[in-house]
Amino acid sequence: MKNKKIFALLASVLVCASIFSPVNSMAASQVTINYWTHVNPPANDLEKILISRFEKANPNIKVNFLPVGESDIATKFTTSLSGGGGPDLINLFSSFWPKYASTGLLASVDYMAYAQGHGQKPANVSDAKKYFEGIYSSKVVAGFQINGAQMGVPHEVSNYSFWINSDMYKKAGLDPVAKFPKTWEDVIANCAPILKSNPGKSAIVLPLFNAGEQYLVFDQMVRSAGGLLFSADGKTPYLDSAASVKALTLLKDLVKKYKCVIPSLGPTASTDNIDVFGGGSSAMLAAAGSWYIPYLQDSFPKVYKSFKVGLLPVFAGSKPAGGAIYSYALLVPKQSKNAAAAWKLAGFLAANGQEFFNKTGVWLGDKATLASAETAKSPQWAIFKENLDTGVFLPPIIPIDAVTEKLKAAIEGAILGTTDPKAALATAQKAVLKLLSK
Amino acid sequence: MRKQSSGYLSRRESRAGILFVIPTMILLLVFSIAPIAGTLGISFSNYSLGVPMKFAGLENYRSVLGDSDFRTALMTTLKLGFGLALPGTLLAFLIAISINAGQKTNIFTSIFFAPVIYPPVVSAFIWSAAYRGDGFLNRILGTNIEWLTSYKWALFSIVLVMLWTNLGFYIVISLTGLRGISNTYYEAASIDGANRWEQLRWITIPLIKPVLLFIGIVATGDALQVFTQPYLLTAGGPGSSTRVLASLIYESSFRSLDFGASSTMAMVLLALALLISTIQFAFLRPKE
Repeated sequence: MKNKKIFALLASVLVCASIFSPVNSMAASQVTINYWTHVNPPANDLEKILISRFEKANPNIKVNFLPVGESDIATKFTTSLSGGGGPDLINLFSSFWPKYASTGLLASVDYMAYAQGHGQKPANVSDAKKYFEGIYSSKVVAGFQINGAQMGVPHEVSNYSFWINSDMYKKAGLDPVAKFPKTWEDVIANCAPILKSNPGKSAIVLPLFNAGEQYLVFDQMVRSAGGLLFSADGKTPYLDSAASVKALTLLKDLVKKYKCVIPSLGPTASTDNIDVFGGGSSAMLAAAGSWYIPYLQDSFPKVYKSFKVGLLPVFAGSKPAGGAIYSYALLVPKQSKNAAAAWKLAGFLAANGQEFFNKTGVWLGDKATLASAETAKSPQWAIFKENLDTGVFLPPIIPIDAVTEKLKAAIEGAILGTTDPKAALATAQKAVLKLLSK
Repeated sequence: MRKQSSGYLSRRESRAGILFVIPTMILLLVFSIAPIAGTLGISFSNYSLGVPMKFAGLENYRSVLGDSDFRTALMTTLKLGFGLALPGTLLAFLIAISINAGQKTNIFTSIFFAPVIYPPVVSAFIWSAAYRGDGFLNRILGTNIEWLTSYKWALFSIVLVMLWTNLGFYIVISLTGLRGISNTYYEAASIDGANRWEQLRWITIPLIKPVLLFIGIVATGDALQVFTQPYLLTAGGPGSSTRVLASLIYESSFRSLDFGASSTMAMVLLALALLISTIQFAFLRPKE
C-alpha cells in the first residue's frame, strides 16, 4: 500500500514536470514561432504557401505569420524588443540590422538549423557554415556580417533600375528603344519634348520625402560621378566630395533649370514615386527594382503594358555603375526562445529562391537562382542581372536613420529649396561625421 | 446629538466621495503620472535599447538643448502652435457667433464638426490629393502653388489641415460658451440702447473669455503634440522644414533607439506646454 502511494506520487511529479517543463525543445514538444515580414502581397501570398509546407514537414513547429506595413515594421520591432516580446524571425530591410546588431540584440546565424531548413544534414557546424557560404555570393553574404559574425540571412536582394513609359515617349516623338536614356545628359535631352507633348506631367519623378530611396538613388549617382558616398565599412562619409556635389547639382538642375521634375505632382510622404510613375504622371523613374513588374501588373495595368526598363543612367564618359544593392534580411532576436526553429524556417524560406523569383520577380540572393536557365527566361532579367553585377552593396551604417535624414535635408534643401549643393553637402558631411563618431 | 458644521461633509459622505474618486486617481497614476515620472527618470540616463541604463546627470539635457535639429524642430512646433491656436480660436469664435445668430444651427454645426471624426490618416490622404499640383485646391484657386513640396508653403499647408480637422471641435465649445451667456444681459443692454457691436464687445467677449482660454489651451496642446499630419503629408520635409518635436522624439526612440535623448525631449516639450498654458492663463483669465 505504501509502495503504491510512493509510486502514485512519483508518477504525479513526473506528469507535472512534463506539463510545466519549458517548451523550447524542438524535438520533444510543440514550438510556436512568430514570423514578421513587410507587406508585399505577391511575396506574402507565396510565403503563406511555403509556411504551410514547412509546418507539414515540421509538425512540431507552428508558425504565426504576420505581414506588417513597411513604414511600421521597424517601429513595432523596436517596441516589441523593449517589452521583451516580438517575433522569433523577422524579415527586415537591410539598412536597419546594424543598429540592432551593434547593441547585441540579434543572434548570429545558426548554420546547422539553417542547413536543416534547406533539407541538409551537415555533420558539424563547420560543414554547415561552408554549405551556407556556398549558397550565396561573397558580396551578398558580406553585407550581413559584423566583425566577422553572420548576423542575417540575405532575403529579397535588389537594386534600382531605370524605367520609362513608352506611351509618353512615343507621344513626344521619341523612340523608347533608341532614345532610352543611357546618360543623365540623355535624360535632360528627352525632358523638353516629353514635357511639351505631355502637359501637366513630369518628365522624371524623384524619390522625394523618402530618405531611404534618396540614399539609394544618390549613391549610384555619386559612384557614376567617380566617387563614393561612404567607405565600404560605413564608418567614413564623403558627402562633400566633388562627385557628390556633381550629383546633387545635376538633381538640382533637373528640377530648377530643366524643369524635368514637377515636385507638386508628388510623391508626398504618403505616396511613393513608384505610384506617381505607375499612375502615368511621369515618363521616367529611377527608384524601383525587379519587384516593380508584378506591382505594376497588379496596380497599374495600363503602364504595365507600356513600360521599358534599363540600367540607371550614368554621367557621360563614366563607367557603368549599377544601382546600390539593398536587400532584406532574415534576422532572429537574441531574446527569442525558439531561435533554432526560427533559423530552420529562415533556411526553408531561402531554399525556395526559384519559386520566389518566379512568383514575385525578386531574387533571394542565392547563386542557383541567379544562374538558372529558368531565371534567364524572365523578361528583362539580363538588365537586372547586369545591374546587380555592376552594383555595390550598401555599407553597414549604424545610425542609418539619422544619417539618411541628414542626406535628405541636403538633397531637398538644394532641389526644393535655395541651398547651394556644395554648402548643403558640407553641412551634411559635418553632421554625419558627428553622428558616426558617437 | 452633535451639531454638524456647514461646509463639512459627513464622514460617510467623505468616504463615499473618496471611493468614487479612487478609480480615476488610479487610472491617472498608472497611465499619466507614472509614465511621466518614468520618462523623467530615463531622461537622466543613457538608456538605449540593448545598452544597460546608467545615470547620466544633465548630459542629455545639455546635448539636446545644444542640438540644432532639436532647436529647429522646436521652432517649427512653436510656429505650428501659434499658427493653429490664434487663428483657430478666433475663427471658432467668429463662426460660432454666426451660427448662433442664424437658423439651422444644428446643420451647420454638423458640417463643421464632420472633419473632427475623420481618422487623421483619412484626412491626410484627402489633403495629400488636394495639395497635388493638379489637385482641386490649385484648380479652385487657379494657382500653381507647391503646397507640400516648397519650403514656403509646406508648414502653412499642415496648419491648414490641422485647422480643418480641429475647427469643428473648437466651434462646438464656443457655441456652448455662447449659449451659456444669459439672455438677460443682452435684454438689459438693448434697453440701455447698446447696439450689437457694443453687446459683443462688452458682454459676449468678456463672458466667453474662459471658453476662449480653454480653446486656446486645447489648440496649443494639439499643435505641440502634433505628429500624424506632418508624418503623413511631408515626413518632416521638404528637408526638415516641417519636422516637429513629436516626430523627432519618435525618430530618436524608434529609429535611433536612444530612449535617453527622446525622454529628455519629451520632458522639454512638457515643460514648454506648461509654460505656454501658464502664460495663456495669465493673459486670458477673467479679472475679478
